[in-house]
Amino acid sequence: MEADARREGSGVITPIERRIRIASILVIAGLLVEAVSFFWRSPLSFFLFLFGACGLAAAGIVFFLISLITVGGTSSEPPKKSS
Amino acid sequence: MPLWPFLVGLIGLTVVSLIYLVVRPDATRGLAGKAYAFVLIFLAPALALFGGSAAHLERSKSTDFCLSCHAMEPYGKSLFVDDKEFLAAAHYQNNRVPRDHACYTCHTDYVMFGPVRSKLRGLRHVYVNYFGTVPDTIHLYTRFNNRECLHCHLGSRSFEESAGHRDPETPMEAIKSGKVSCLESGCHDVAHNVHELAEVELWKPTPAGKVPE
Repeated sequence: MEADARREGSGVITPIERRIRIASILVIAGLLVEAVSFFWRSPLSFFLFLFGACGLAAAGIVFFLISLITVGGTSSEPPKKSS
Repeated sequence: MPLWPFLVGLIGLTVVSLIYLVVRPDATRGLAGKAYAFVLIFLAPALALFGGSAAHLERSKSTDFCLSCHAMEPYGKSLFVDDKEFLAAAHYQNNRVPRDHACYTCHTDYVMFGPVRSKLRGLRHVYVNYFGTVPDTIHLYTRFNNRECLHCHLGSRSFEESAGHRDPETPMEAIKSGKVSCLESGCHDVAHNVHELAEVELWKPTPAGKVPE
């Protein structure tokens, strides 16, 4: 936790943070498309929601969850030595 | 109250918070930061998508949505025929069906509303509307189910005591069980009849509550 606090604001981005950033961008795109689909009065708005919004946001969510599993153990912090 | 304005609010808050995460991904360090990321990247979008599905399905029940396809325009026009014999028009004009959900009230198993099969047909309709050839005459996939009439009329005095419904040739049980079709038995067979629209007069509605001049 102390190491986290020290790194915060230092500009160094860990692999999990890079993935969180990508996941966030995908989710933002999905949510914005969803918002547009609410205002578009056309039968195609449902398709836009289904394939555009759900696709992008679900990709972001899945990418985030996979990152938690695969990169969760990886840290820029040096491994602690057991004495 | 429709659901979508709340969802737009949720989406706005989530997007603003996520933009902060994009700019400052190091904010996810520590337990609170991880919880923040989990809420923003998993819980809030999942809620927005779930609510979005419900909002879109709800909107697909509206008369405006059904009539937004060009092929449905004559059916919308048929609701304004100035003739009591036209069943759909009589129901629409006399508020026997809610005007903003007029189509869905009588076609509960159509397009997006019914089981998965109906939803797939609904998606196909959208495809045909934009990329295919819309047939001149649109037919229902199955015979119109008496259930759509009975969910309002069953038990009502005008239905139960109607002389026509007490006719020995069309026993009430046969109507209620669907053996005798309300629409195809020859009793109420003028529904939309869109091919006759050029020959009939249309009703011009006055604003609600205003006495016609």
